[in-house]
Amino acid sequence: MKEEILFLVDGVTFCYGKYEVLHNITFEVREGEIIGIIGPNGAGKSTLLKLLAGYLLPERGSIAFLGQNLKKYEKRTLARYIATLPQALDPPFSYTVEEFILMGRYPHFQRGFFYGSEHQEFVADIMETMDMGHLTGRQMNSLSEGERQKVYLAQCIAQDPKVLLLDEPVSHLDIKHQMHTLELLENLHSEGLTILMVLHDLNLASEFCSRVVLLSKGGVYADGIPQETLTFNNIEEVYDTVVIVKENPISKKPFIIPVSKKYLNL
Amino acid sequence: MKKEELNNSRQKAVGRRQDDSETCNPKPVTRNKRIVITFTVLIILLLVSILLSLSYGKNIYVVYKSFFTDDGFGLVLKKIRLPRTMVAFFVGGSLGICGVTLQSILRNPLADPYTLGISGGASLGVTISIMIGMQHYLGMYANPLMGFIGAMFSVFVVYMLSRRKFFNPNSMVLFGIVVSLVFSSFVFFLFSILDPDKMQVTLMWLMGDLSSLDVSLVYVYALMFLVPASILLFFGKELDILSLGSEKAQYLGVDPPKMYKILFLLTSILTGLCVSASGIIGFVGLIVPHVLRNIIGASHTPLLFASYLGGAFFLIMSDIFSRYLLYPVELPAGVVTGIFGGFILLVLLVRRS
Repeated sequence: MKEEILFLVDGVTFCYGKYEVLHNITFEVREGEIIGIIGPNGAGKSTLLKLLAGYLLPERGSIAFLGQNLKKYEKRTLARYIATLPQALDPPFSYTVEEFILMGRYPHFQRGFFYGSEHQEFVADIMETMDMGHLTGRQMNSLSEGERQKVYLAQCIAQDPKVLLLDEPVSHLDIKHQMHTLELLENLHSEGLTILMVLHDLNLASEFCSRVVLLSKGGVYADGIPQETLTFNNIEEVYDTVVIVKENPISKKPFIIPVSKKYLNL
Repeated sequence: MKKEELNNSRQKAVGRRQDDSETCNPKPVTRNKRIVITFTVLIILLLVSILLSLSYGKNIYVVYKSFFTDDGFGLVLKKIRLPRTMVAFFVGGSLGICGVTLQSILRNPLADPYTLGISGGASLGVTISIMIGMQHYLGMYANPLMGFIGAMFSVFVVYMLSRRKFFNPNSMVLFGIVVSLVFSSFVFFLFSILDPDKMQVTLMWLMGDLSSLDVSLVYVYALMFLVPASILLFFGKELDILSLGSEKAQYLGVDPPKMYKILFLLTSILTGLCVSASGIIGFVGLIVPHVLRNIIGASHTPLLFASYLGGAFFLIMSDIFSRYLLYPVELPAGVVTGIFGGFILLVLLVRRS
């Protein structure tokens, strides 16, 4: 079984002003993967995601999407393939849930003042499959954090993309909503969506991702299945923290437990 | 075994959530119905205000007959009341949609058409025009033309400054405020050396005067107003998306810098035209979108249309008040919109908190 290569990142370097954030990054994303990008604060995770989404352009090196240079795509065309959820989304006005999700249909929209019934039905279907029918007609600012995150995701799904790029989709949610959101993503993944997400929680990355990319100081430190990348040595080296790595008894994935220095008596 | 339990509990959780939704959630608001009602009311209000503005003091039948006569009231109607009502309609409507547009792209519900520094430049243009007596050379074209040139000049300055920041909304607001302040300071400098008669004329213009545009220009202006306004009405969906910020807007398929440029250009031309036709009329572009957003919601396509109608209604009514509140003394329309608009905004803000 040979999957199509979606992203081909080749020797990408990116700087904010004089400060080099990413250095000579090379990796590829294949269709059907669910990838977690992890690493300490400032390792360049969000920057990498913005580069893949086409929002930032690499200083050196190139990113190809489906065999063509990413920057050659028109924004609207790209939005039909890639849906991206940035870290902070803060609409200044209160839209209804449907209005908000409908914005995701924009890349597929032809012309006119309103989104036609086919778009409305598309959105209604998404809301049904995502089990959010009870949010119909609600105002965005009356939703809880977890519900809002779900609506943001639904907007991305409304773009009907091939790839979903997410920047810390669960970091401000409680454990129930974290699991709920990630299970939702897993379902979408099983329906053929490729997902690439920045995660802070190493255990969630280990549990849900088929592949984990560990970034450190602007470079790829490790890249592979969770059992290979989330090792005791890698994590202690990159995060400069003492941890114990066990195996989750059910999923057989690595499970990382941080250890406070005061118990070490070294 | 374990899996089964897990499945059961998951189903339970789902079931509970659905039960909750039936009991706790308010009935979904049928927003479409609300929009239809709002538009009907707005159109009726607008028609009434237009009739009132044309016919104040006379009955409708007299007004109708006077359209076909060229003396007495017929002349007043065709040479004064109709052009004035038209100016109020176009200026009010344009300010309304410019307010909506800028509030969305600047992501700030308190932005108004003058946020980008247009008022300062236009004031300076007109003050210079009156000071050096340009109407001796250009006649009735002098003040509108100089106002428009001043407005476009300040917009040009803000545009060139913003371009270096990739039209970042925050820096655009800052540039607009600073540019406006600098130009206003020049206006005050000119005031300090201007003779009192000319100062009076300038001040009246600065406070917004719907009667200053010459009749023969009104129809030309009407056309010039209509073109950019009707283009702007097509950008509702882009405004929805741009209000999420330029990063997310790009992910949804909008090209933010390009779109900012187009919208910036359209709103500048419209606001420039407004200012050159009737001086600086405040609060319309702020209050009208604000009130209507509370009624029909934030979705920009209906909001744009409603704000055009609402802005036109608000300015025509304000103009009627300005004419007859202290009859025979005529107030500047900008003063009336300021007082009424400020009052409405305060009530809204207090009620919300």
